[in-house]
Amino acid sequence: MATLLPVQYAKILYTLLHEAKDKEVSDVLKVFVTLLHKDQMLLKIDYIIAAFEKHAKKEDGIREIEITSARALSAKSITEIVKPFGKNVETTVSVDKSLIGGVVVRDGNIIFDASIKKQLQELTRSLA
Amino acid sequence: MSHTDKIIKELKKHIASFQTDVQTEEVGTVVEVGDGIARMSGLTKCQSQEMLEFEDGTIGVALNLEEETVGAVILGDFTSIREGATVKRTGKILSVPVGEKMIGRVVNALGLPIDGKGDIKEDDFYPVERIAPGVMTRTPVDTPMQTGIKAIDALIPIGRGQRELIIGDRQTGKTAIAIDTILNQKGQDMICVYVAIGQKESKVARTVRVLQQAGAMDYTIVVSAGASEPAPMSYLAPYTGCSMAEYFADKGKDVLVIYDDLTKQAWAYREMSLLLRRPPGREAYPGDVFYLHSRLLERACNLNDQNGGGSITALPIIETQGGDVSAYIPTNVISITDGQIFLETNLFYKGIRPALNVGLSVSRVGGAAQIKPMKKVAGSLKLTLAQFRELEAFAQFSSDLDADTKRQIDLGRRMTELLKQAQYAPLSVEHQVVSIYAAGQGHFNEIPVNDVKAAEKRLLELADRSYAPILGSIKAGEWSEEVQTGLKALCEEFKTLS
Repeated sequence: MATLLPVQYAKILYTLLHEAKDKEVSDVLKVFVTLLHKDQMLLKIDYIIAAFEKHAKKEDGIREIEITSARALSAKSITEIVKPFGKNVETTVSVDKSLIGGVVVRDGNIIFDASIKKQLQELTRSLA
Repeated sequence: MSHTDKIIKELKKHIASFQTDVQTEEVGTVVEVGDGIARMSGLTKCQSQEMLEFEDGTIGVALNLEEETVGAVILGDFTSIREGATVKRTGKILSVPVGEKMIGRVVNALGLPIDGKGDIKEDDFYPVERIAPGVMTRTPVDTPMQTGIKAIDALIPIGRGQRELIIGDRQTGKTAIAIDTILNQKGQDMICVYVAIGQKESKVARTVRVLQQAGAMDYTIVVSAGASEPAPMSYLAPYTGCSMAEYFADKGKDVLVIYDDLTKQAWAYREMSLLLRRPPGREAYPGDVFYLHSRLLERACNLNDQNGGGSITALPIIETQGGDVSAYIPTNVISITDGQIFLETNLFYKGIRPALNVGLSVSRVGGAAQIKPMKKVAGSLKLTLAQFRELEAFAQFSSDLDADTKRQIDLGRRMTELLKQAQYAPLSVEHQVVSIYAAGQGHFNEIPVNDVKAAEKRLLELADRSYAPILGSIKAGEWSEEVQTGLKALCEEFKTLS
């Protein structure tokens, strides 16, 4: 039986906790875990927790930016890249040599791709 | 300044002003993969029917747009797609390559060649799902589409722009009729598209071979979604074939499309719909299975001259189980099409091939799609066969019957024998008129039933030898005194010879 997605459970939990008073929190969690058990979703608890974190951050106005570059970036360039995304930003930086050069920035569901790899791919596509 | 320095300076200038283009992409994450389908989160601005690209380059089509997820079918290998993988939007509605170079090729449901003859240079891309031409762009069907099969051209005529269903159990010769029709289009300025849906690859290979040997691949495109390919390919193939046909129809050409067969497309669509968790209805088909076929067959059309005057004739094929035409899919398609050719197992085993049930087969367009001579000779044929069917039951008491009844039964038997036709042996319309005329006038009555076929052959040889001008006039659609006397003379001469 198709139940809800982890994202949807996370949203439910967030709304519940948001409305609950401090004393009620443990009760809410207890009910929530029972619900997960009933829906046979306890296996997916890791996904739900991850989704909950993501959702909570989004609700609090924090943007998660993932930066991937071909070579390690200096702190200055990172701040430069992050600037247009506003103040409440959490960045994860990683290095991927296959990009050849340039950076790829991911903001939620949107990817800004300024890597050499992508440019070459576009070039091949336009020449084909 | 030396030449090298100049180049270096120029290069430095370019490097200094170099700016990378930033490509913006919208992505999602796969949350679930099943048999040929995937569900993805993200992709918030995704359109229905949009192409999605998975990490390995496989294409998917978004079909279900839900609150949190997008349900898509995967066109290709889905084994390499994993949960958590990234999916990109392409911003393009699913379309296939179309063009003149497609003719003579075998392609898959995405329009990519599978005959090993190299890439096809497309002239254009057409969306797979197109809205059918409207009322104002159409004109009534008025030109015949000769199938080369006597029983069909005489009794159930098909016109250019018509949709005629071929329905019957397995192994009753449905595909044979379709292939014969393609073979008969040689030199008729017609382009044929044969769509093989969920068929055995060996059967498709055999069909292509037959077409090649007869030289029919010069005007035919074969679209094949094999039985081993995922269900979405079978679902897509008819639409792909139709889009390819539309390209030619838009250029004012006449096109014939054969969907072999739509039962398998409905199965594929049922599989996809159930995996996408759409609610099942009768026989577990989703609620829009009628629309699946109606929107496809509605794209068959006869365009008026302001719109190029092209036409698309559709011959969908439906396979029934145990002759049950009242099952869900057969009734649906019967109601959509402009008539049906009904094939029966018991007729097939009686040796009546094509195993056409003349009583149950109809063409709603009918006489408008026949040349005049054919209309004249076929009228009496219909009546003779109807009377024969009524009297057939009494045939075994032949000794007790009056002379009139006996004569009718004899004529009916000879007519039935005459309508038998070998596979891959389509007959031109003028030959059909000659043999039906001769039989209708009773010139075969003295010939034993078993020899009718041989006698017909002799008659047609004689006609070709000595009466070529008459044949020419019949082909042109003339039914003058001259033609009639010519036919009479032909029959007299035939009689004296035999």
